[in-house]
Amino acid sequence: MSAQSMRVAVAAAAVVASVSLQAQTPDVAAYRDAVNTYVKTGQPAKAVESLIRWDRARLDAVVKEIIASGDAALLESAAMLHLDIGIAIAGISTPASAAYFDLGEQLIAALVPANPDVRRQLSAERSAEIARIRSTWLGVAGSAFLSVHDTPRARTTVRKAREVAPKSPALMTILGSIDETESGPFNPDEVESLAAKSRVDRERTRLLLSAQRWYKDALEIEPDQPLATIRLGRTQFLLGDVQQASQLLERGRVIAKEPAHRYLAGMFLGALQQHQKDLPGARASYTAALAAAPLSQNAIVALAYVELLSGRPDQAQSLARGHLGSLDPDHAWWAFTGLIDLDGLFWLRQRVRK
Amino acid sequence: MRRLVAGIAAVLASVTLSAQQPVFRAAVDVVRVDVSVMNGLHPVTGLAADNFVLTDNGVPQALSSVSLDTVPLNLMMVLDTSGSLAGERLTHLITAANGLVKSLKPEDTVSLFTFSTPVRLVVKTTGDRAPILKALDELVADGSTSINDAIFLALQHRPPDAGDSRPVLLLFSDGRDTSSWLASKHVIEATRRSGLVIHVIELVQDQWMAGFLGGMQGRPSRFLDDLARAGGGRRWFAKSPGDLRELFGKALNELRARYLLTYSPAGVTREGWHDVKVTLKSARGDVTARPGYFASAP
Repeated sequence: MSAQSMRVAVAAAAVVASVSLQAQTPDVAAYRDAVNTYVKTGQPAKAVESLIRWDRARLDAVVKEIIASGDAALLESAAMLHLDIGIAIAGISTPASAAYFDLGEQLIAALVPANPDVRRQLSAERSAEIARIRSTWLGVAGSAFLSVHDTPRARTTVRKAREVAPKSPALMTILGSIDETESGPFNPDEVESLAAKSRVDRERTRLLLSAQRWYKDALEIEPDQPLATIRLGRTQFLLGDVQQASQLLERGRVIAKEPAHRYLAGMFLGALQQHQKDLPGARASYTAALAAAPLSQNAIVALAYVELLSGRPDQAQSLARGHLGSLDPDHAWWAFTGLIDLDGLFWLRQRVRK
Repeated sequence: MRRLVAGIAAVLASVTLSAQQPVFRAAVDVVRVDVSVMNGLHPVTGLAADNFVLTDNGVPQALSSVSLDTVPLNLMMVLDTSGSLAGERLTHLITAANGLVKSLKPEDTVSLFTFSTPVRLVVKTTGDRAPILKALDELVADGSTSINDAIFLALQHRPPDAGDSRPVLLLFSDGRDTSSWLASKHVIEATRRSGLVIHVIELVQDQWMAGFLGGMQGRPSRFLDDLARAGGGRRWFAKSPGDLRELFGKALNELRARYLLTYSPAGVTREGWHDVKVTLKSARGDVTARPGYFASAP
């Protein structure tokens, strides 16, 4: 995302919470134009420029009219515009992001005709396609919340997706990632008493075991899914099974194609190698992760720390200074956590963008 | 015969060891130790070099200088701006930080880091107060909490050569880490190696695991306690956001009332960790200082 696009998206974030009186234009026509701009250019920030001063009530009214039109192509395109804006602003204002997702969810749900007679006439193929679009859309939205660590919203959204597609390996993987993320703050070293340590450790283990189950379920349906393989490896490491973790992460690194997956494989493998005191190996893995996600704070911090341990404090300082010194204030850091369901997002985008 | 050979071998081994492990060369390497001496809540002033006894890896060292509040501060402020700070808490934080910045001496410098999920260097080291005050007024609270990564990244921004200033890191947070890559133990290790003094102000209104652990509400962070110890600094608790202004003021007073001891290490092997212990002679007070420093190969 460019800095300019981000600044426009930030302005869009303010729209939802504000109430402003503006000269009226044919709102539905303006909204349709915005959706068309998004479809033609693939740039949500550019598309939303014309809607920047709209408040929530105005958007609600237009979305209701769009839903009433029953125009499936328009519904899907509009929902994608909302999804992309929600992702663009997720790390700036989660509530504003949630508002865009909420409207998009209404649009995507409307792909299922309200009229039961019309619904009955849908072909099995079209019904399945609608189900896939809806569940993927909700899954991507849920993963966007996860990328900014809003696990409650992530979980709620992904559960809705699973009502539509209960056997989706992508959704199972996201749910596993939610459990894994929620286990993070449960650190027994942070509490004093033995009783508290035990409870904290049990909760951490419970969440990690739940994550493990989700990943294994996903891999039973789709054995070569890189993300579930990599995340299962990570979970095994966190649970103490270093050997299994190593095998899974090595496999994940080999089958990973997307940069986000290569990034995760590098990070998690690096952590394992660091644990085994293989600092050269960890450095190579973190370097690969950084190459896949050059703006990732985690990758910078991980590599810099290994440089420190390796007796190269100058390198550590250089990495840290280079990172913080070059950051664009509009930097979309949440796009580099490896948690957004990019496969789902790309699939949805290619359906609507010409 | 066997005993003689073994004895010669031991001597040869120790000579070789000495040759392989370079020691500090006198008057080339200087170590600065930032020390607080308190009598209860009050700093002890008027101490001179002969009031301090300093050992480096157990070897007594001769202090070349002792100064109090004459060396300018190079203050690195690292402030938590996660979502839990939104509202009244942020307002009080801004007021407190503003007060501290305005109380700095003209020769002091300051930089500002903030962290929620990402860590940001908002204002680089400067003697100009205006950009810092402006940045403070524009702070927004949103997101999760990457304390560990923030401290680590800030440590890497310490000046390579302190020169005529005293670099100090002042951390403020109201919660536990929820989104860092580094674990707490990594940050403690990085702190040990940094040589930087770290002070901590913690707003202990933490609802961390309130439902999960019942009576664990409002407990100070053990990690932040370990951090202050490793950094040779002090830690203050605020029980309400309204306490922050006073505590930031206390922190600054403490920084001013610290002694800077310098010495050129002698009689110790250079590379590796050095345990430093500072005690008082002919004076009374509680001494707080970094537990040591890490020296890398020349």
